[in-house]
Parts: sequence; structure tokens; C-alpha cells
Amino acid sequence: MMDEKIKKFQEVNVSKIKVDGPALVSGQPSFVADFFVPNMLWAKVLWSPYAHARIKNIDPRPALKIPGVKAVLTYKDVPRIPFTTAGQGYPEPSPYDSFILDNKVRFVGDRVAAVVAETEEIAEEALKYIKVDYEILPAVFDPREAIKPGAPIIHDEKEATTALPLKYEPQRNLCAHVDMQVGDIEKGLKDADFVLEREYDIHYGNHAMIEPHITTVYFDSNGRMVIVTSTQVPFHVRRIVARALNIAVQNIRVIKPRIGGGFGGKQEVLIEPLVAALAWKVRQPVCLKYSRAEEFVSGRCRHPQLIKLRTGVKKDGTITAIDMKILMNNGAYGAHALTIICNSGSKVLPLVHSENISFWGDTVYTNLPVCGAYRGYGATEAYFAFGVQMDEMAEKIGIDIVEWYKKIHIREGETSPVFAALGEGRAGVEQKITSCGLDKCLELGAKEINWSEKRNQKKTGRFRRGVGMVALMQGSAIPEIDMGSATIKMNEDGSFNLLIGATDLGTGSDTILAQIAAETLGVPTEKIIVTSSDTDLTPFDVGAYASSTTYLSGQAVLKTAQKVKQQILNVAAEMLNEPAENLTIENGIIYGKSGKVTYQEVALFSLYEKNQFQIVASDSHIVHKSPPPFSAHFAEVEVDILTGKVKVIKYVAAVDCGTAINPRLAEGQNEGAVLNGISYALTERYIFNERGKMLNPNFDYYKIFSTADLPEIKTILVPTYEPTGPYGAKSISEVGINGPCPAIANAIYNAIGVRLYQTPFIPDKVLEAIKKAGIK
Amino acid sequence: MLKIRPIINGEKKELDLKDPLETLLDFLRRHHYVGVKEGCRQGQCGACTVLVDGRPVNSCLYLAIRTDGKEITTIEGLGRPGNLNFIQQAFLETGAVQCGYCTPGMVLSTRALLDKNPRPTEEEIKIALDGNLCRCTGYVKIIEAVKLAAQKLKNKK
Amino acid sequence: MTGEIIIPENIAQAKKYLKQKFVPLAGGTTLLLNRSANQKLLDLSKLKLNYIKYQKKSINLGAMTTIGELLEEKKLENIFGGLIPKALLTIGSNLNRQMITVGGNIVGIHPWSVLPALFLLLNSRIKTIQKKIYPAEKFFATAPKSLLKNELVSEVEIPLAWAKSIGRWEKLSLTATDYPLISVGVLPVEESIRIVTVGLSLLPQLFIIARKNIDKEIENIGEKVKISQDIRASIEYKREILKNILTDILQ
Repeated sequence: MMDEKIKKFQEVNVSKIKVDGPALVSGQPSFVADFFVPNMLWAKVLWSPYAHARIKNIDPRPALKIPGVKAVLTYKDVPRIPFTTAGQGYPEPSPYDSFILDNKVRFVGDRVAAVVAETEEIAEEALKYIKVDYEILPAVFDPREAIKPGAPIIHDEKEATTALPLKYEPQRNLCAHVDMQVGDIEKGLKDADFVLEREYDIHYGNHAMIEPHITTVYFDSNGRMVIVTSTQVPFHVRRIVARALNIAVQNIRVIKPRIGGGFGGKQEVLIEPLVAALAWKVRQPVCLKYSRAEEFVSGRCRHPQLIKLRTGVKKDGTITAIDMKILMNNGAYGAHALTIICNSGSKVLPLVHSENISFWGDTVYTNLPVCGAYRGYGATEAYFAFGVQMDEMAEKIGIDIVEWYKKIHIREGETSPVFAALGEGRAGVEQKITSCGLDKCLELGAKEINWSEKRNQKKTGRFRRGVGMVALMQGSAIPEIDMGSATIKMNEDGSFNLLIGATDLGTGSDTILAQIAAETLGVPTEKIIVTSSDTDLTPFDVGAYASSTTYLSGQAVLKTAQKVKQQILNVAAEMLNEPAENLTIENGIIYGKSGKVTYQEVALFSLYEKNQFQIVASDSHIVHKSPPPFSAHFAEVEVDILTGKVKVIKYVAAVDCGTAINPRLAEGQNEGAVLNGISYALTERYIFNERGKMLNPNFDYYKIFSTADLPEIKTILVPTYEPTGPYGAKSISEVGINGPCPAIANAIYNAIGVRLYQTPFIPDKVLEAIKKAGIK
Repeated sequence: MLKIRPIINGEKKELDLKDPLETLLDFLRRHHYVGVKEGCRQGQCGACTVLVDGRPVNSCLYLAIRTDGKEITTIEGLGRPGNLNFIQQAFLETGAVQCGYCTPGMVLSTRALLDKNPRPTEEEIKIALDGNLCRCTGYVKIIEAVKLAAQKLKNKK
Repeated sequence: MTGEIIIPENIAQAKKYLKQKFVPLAGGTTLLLNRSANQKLLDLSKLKLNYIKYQKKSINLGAMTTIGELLEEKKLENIFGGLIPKALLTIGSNLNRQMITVGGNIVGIHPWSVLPALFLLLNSRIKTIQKKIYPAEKFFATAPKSLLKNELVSEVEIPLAWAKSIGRWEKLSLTATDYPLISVGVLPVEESIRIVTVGLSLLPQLFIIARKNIDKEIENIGEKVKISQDIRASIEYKREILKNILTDILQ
């Protein structure tokens, strides 16, 4: 059926213009807020002012008296069914510790009650009139304290549970645990010539997607609930809302229109159950949109981690032991508590060879804003520790770090025991690497930044420059667990409808999946009409996370297109009166010995003429491995020793993502991830007061980069061919964000000789380190 | 019912104000110019950018009542699918559009820049767009888009 | 949001409403960020107060002139060593600069406001429609709102006596468009050096030092300067970098 030869691609590996591009660039109504629903009401949420408190009494009646207020919901008005907000496949490996509304609040910014009113202003005003009596409880903010005996118990409710048999001990604030051991760590450390032991501290971050969370719920003419929402996981939304409200899945439709970014923050069933409950109550359309402040405090965040990393290395560069222990802060609820900490190990430890590996991870609750999925998903945090330690160790043994990575990284044909040992809540999956362009990434990246010259340049004066680097890998999809599917049907003009559950959050997945379909069908991408992420119209897909869409959903599309192509050939065979095996296809024309037919002629024949049927097929895909994209990042920084301000001058990210289905979009993914990582390393942070309140929930004081801060960023795509991926593709969306923290830290060390073990590298922290080191 | 008469995308309009202090952002969206986006309501993200008499402003901090008699340009005024203007086209061709939420603001800031300075340097481009935040692209291809738009403008003349 | 807004067409009308306690609305950025119900606003946009007048001995800026308009004036690049556009570019983002006005930035004062410090550095005079004239040192000695009763700032006059001096302006912030952790403006004038600070307290602080014993003078400033709490950085850090930056500039 498919040609065995690798022919020149027509539609993939081509930088096509995004299929939704024209609509986006002309401001056509595309986002949730752009759809005006008649009789729509507005919701606002009452947030907790306390970090930890019981709601002893709550009286919504004064608020209900306000003209224009239609409903006020408290915990008494919703089913007490625990669920997880984590957008993951069922059964979710995150604790079921959330309720639509609860009689306890667990962080400043937790939900207390919700109002629905005719206007946003009335709803906002009504919040002040809800009477709440709190019993304030002691709170805990430091994960090291939270896990000690005697710490306040954040989830003391009897309903909190897990769907899988996992270690979950809320009575000691432990919401997840993982550990693995290979070989003998202590022996490995004894065999080493050098042992390094350091502690690293990685901080809270926010996705800061430009469109905050927003959901509209309405009822169609048959009374079915329709949820139009800014989400990365429409099918998980449907299932989890059904659970939380105790209604049937079949009575819910979830539609994701265009969304304004997510980066993991919308891999969360965050507000849909609440909005659904409100709409259910008033039987009218309801919209809830987060303000920017609410997005910072009551959205989701990157997990802070405290990492203890010990490595043992021989003089010749052999790593004899890696021992990583992580204490991860999940905030007040346990979304993604297990899977992220597993990922910290599974996406980092296999990068380099060692016979003795030990990994220990504990995730704990604290009375702080809730953490969730965030691009990199635990690998970002762990790569800071790993990348800095590798650089420090390279200096100890006297080897250039780039050369060392070249010697010890995992290669094609090799495996790591970590793959099988660390899954995401279930057993991991053993895999051999079948594509790896890391050597080329290291070579080209080093050349582009001018590594040898810049590494050894003299540093004097007020502004000192240095270079640093890190090698990285991530994964592509979650093997054996996640599934994606597609349906393709043919229209009489030779165009095709591609129906996919897969979720485009701006990444361009609609486009690249259309490209894959087009390549397989042998037609231009412009002939593919994409409909995505509608639980009534499109077949199942887990959604956009784990760098899955190209590798997993792409293969589902490819398989579906192959089935459709076979049907086309069968019809052509009937039309030409020749066996299908003798036919060839070129540019939408099927050639036989006796003649030729176009796709359009085949379509018309199949729909109207004889043995009529709809040319249509569906297929699904699960993956059996998670082939890592590999990357090498090189940063040149300038440190101002008088103020501690660090500036990135140039940043090079060389990346092997297999075949780039759309090179321009792949570069864009890389560049966006890199810049997000750079501002996370240098300027982004959560400032809390001593009572757990976040003091900077706005762009005034939570700083992300603008064009005026942009360093020179160079992306180098290093092509390889991953045999298990559609047209050789792997993934690219996450790996880029893992580089900046370690690469910049290593560059700072090269510039001023000071090692930083705590992120972010804000000026006062850097100046403090400079003074401690006695640099003038 | 308070009405004002702005000129929106070249069309003389007479539109009602919800109240005297309605922001231009809310006013425009209420009158179905949904290309103007809400991102922060604090003048920090630029998703709400529109041009008032050719100047790019944060419409979330601009009173609608002040636009009486003034020319407002929103993204809808630049072009539609099938008839995009050269800046929109440049953004598509360089891959500068990912989620698209910051895009209308970026395109309008670009328009304001090129109207005043058709041959901007990279530094001038960065300053002109420094009020439009983007979290998806890392800005690299957006800067390329502005350069390409300037090139297209030069070729048109 | 409920409220009232009047858009007077001339100064006499404006004076009338100021007496009735209407709050002047300039660029709008400050007022719209701090919205409260039932505001009574006086929109100044039709009073023809946006102008730049080049006189022989001074440059006069109308109160409704925006930062963006000032940045388009080539002539401002040639005085004080280009200090003015350098300082103006440290104000917010391009979009903010199209809306922030001269009058708004000096009356609706914030710790990060640049123009108060700049005008203080340049020994400017602030004029009101009620014909009062305040030297900058007086105007910025307290929060201007408490100084002005029903008065309305109409113009700022920058004297050109020192126009040949080369001024310096340095801002330290996390990102380019960020509020300064600290900004420092320096202008050498005759036998002394004028120094202003932004971001250390609500009001800008002016120091005039001699040209010798610079190290001692900087130590002195370090001790005398008032630094308020800032959630972003400690007082000790701000004091230290003030001294470091001054040492570097004044070498």
C-alpha cells in the first residue's frame, strides 16, 4: 500500500501557512469570548482571603437580594464528589482531592462560593454580600515543614482518595511518591574519583498565556449541556464534568474553539465543573472568565522543587552514580502530583549512562497556589539541577562539558533502565533509542555560539560575559496509556474532511495533522478541511500534552488516511476495471493500464453513480515507546557586577525532533519555549507574604519578556528520522523550555565564577552571590 | 442613551455607550469588533491595542467617549481572509502567528510603526512592539514579520 | 462603571468644574487603573494643552503632550546630551507612552514616575492654568495633589541655561518596560553635579554635590537617601546599587 522508498515529501517537512492563520490574523471571531450567546449570564467567584480555614457558616441570602443576581452557589448546593482537575486519561493518577465547592479553603485564592448575575459588575458587587464565617487554621507554606509530623493537615476530608493504588498519605500531606533504584548507589559513589553533592531550589512560575481561562456553558435546543471552553483536554473535560456533577457523559458536549495559549495551564479541568454547575442551576447560558490576577493566583503554576543531587564520576568521565532526591511542592491540591515528579526522573536520568541510579520523589501539599502541568512537566526543574551539576563536575574532572556530553549521552540502539522503572503512575515502558541527533546538535550549537573562543575569554570590567550550555531530552507522548484517533471522509470535489480530537492550542496541530493527511492521500494540504476538538463531532484524543500530538495523533491521522486511500483505489479499480494493486497515484490522479481517473471523479462515482457509499475511515493509535527529541542549548550572558543584573546576549538551541512536519512551526515552538525558559530563569517569580498571599498577581510585577528584552535566538533544526513516528517525526513543543535555567546558570559561572543553585537569577540574588565571592 | 460618533475602520458610526466611563475595549467588543482582545485590563499586555488617529493605545485604559469624532482602526479594518493586507500576509508567511491572541495587537502596532517609519531598524521594531506581549512565539518570527512587511511596503511603492 | 465625565472646550469651563471637585483626566492610565464608583472626571483633551514650544531660553511643554509626541521631537535629542529621550524611553511600553501625558505623569505621581525626577534634575518650572508658577523643587517636595488645590497644571518649562551639559540616565529593572527598581539621572552643572533618583520613594530625590571627593559624596547620599519598602527588592540592595551606579557614572 504505502511506498517503501522514502520519496521526497510534498506536504510534510514543508513550512505551510497555518490553516487557521487567516482567521487569526484578521481578528475573526474565534475564541470563547467572541461567541455571543443570547441571554448569557456572568459568573464571578468569591476567593478565600485565608491560607487555611474551615467555612463554619456561609449565607448567600444578602447577595441573592441584589437585583440582577440569579444564583449563588456554595458547597451546600453541589454534589460532594471528589475528582481531580488534572486533565489526564482515566483512571487519573492524580489524587481525587477537589470538589466543585468545598467547606474548607486551603490557600489564599481558593474557591469559597460563586455568583451568577446579569452583568459582570453586578456579579462582582454581589460577592461582597455573601456572609462567610471562617475558622482560621494554622497554615504551612514550606514543603519541608509540611511533611514533618505535627504539620497542619491540609486534606483531612474523608473523601480524598486515589483512583489507582498509589502511595497517597494526606494525613502527612504526602500527595505522591515515587522511587527507583538500579545497581548500588553507595558502591557507585565509592568507586568514583570525584563525588559532588548539591542542593537546588527551583521556583514557582506562571504560564502567563495571554488569554486567561474562560468557559461558557449553554444548553442546546434539546437541553444538552454544551461547554465551550479554553482547554487543552476537551474529552477529559467531558468525563470529569460528568463525574463532578453526576450527570451522564452523553448529556455533555465539549467544544474547544481557538484558544489563546495554554502551555499546560489548560491541561486542567479547572473551571468547567463550576460553570457547568452554575448553568445547571439557572438553566441559562453562563460565562466565567478569569481576570489576570485570578489567573496568577487561582489558575495553575509550575511546581517548585527542592532537589538533592549527588553524582559520582571517574577521572575518565564515567558516571558511576547518580542519586537524585526531589521534594516537590504541589500547592493546596494534588493535580499532576505523581506524574510530574516521575517525569523529573524519566526525562532526565536516561540522558547519560550510569550503572548506578537512584531516584526518590515526594510531592507534598502546602497552603499555596496550586501547581499543575507546565511545559517541561518536571523535566524543567530537574534539568536545572542536572545541567548545573554536570557543568560543575566537568570542571572537576577537567573535561570540556560539550566533549563530555558527546562521550556519555545515550545513543541510537541503546536503552536506559530508567525507562522501564519510571512510568507515570503505572509501570514504565522499556525502549531503545531509534533516532538521536544529539551529537550534531552539540556540534552545530557549539559552532554557532563560538564555544571555544567565548568559553575562555577574559572577564574584566563592570559587564562580564560568559557562555554555558546543557544537553537535553524530553519524550514524545506517553506509551501504552494515551490514545488519539481520526476520521477522514471524502467530498465530491476531491477535498477531505479531517475530524480529529487532537487539540490545537496555537501550536499548529490542526495544520500539521492536515499536512500528514495530505501527504498520505497525495493531495495538497489545502484540500484538507480540519474540524477538531468537538466531543460530538470528532473522535477521541487525550488532548494536547506530553508532546503527543505530532507523534501520537499524527500517526492516527496517517493510518486513517491510508485506509481512505485504499478505498479510493478500490473505487478507481472498479471504474477502470483493473485490480487495485496495479494502480498508482500521482498528484490526485490514479493511473491504470487502461486509463486514469481523478480524485474528484472517484468521489462523484462513489457518492452517486454505482455501489454508492461514503468514502470514510477512522483509525486510532497508541504508542509503544516515547522517542525523545534531543537538544543542545548554548547561552551567552552578560553579568553586571555592580547590580547583579544578568542579560542574555545570544541563545542557541539546536534540536533533533525527527522530521519537522512544518519546519517554521517547529522553530516557532522552540523559540517560544526558549524565551519562556529565559524569562523564567531571570525575571519571573511569585512573591508571597508571610500569610501565603501572592503579592504580584499582575504583569506589572510578574515580569515576562517583551520584544525590548529579546536576545538573539538561533534555532537549528537537526533532522533525523524516527522510524516509529509519522514520516519520521518525534516532538518539539516542550524540550526547549528545559535549557535556559541550567545553560544560563552555567554561563553566569563562566562569566563571574559564581555558581547559582537557586532560581530565578534576579539581580539582588546574583549581587549577593557576587559579594560573597569577593568579586570586584 | 449616550451615543458617540467615532469613525471605525473608515466608516462613520453612531454607537451607544453603556455608561460614560466605558472603556474603548469593552465598547468595541460590545459592538462586535471582537478582534480587540482582553488580556489583563491593566495596560500591560497590549492584546487590546487599537489605533486612535493612527496612534496605538491600550484600549483597556482608553475611555470610549474620547473617541467621538476620532478615527479608530481595529484589526478588522486591515483585511479579511481572502483579502489580507500586506502586514497580515507577512505575519502568516513568517510563522509569526501561533495562538493568534496577541496577533491583532501586534499587527496594529506594526501598522502604526510602518505608517510613521517605513524603514525601521531592528531596534526601532523592538521598541515599537514592546507593549505587545506574546507567550507563544518568543517574538523571533514576529520581528521577521515586521521586516518582511517593511520589505513588501517598499516593493509596493 | 458609573460616573460622570465632562469634556470642557476651554479653560474657563475647566476652572468651573475644578471648583466642583471634578478630577482631571489626562492620559487616563492612572485613573482607569484605580477605578471607583461615581467618579467625576474632567477630560482635558480638548483644552489644546498638547504642544511643544521652543523659546530662546526654554522649552515649554503643554500638560497634555504625550511621551510619544515628545519622543518624536528631534530637537530634544540635541540638548542635555540627549538626556530627555533617553529618560523618556524608560517610561513603560510604546503603548503606554502614547497615552501618558506630561501633566498626568507629574501630578498622578508614583514611585516609578520619570518626569518628576527629570524635571527636578533640569530645574524646571511647573505652571498652572490659574497662573501660578512652581519651581520643581517646591512642586515635588510633597505629593503634588496635596499642593494643588483646584489648580490644574498647564505647562512645564525647561530652562535651557544648562542645555550644553551632558546628562546621564540609567535605569535598573527586571525587564526593559518594567518599573525601575531604581533609576538615576545625573547632570553636571557649573561647579556641581545634580543627581536625581526614581523608584526609591514616592517622590524623586535631588542631590547636589561638589565635583571633588566623589566617593565621600556618594557615601553621603547613600546615608541620606530615603528608601521605602518595595516587595521586589530589599532596602539594603537598593542602597547598594544606588552607590554602585553613581560610582560608575561619576568616574
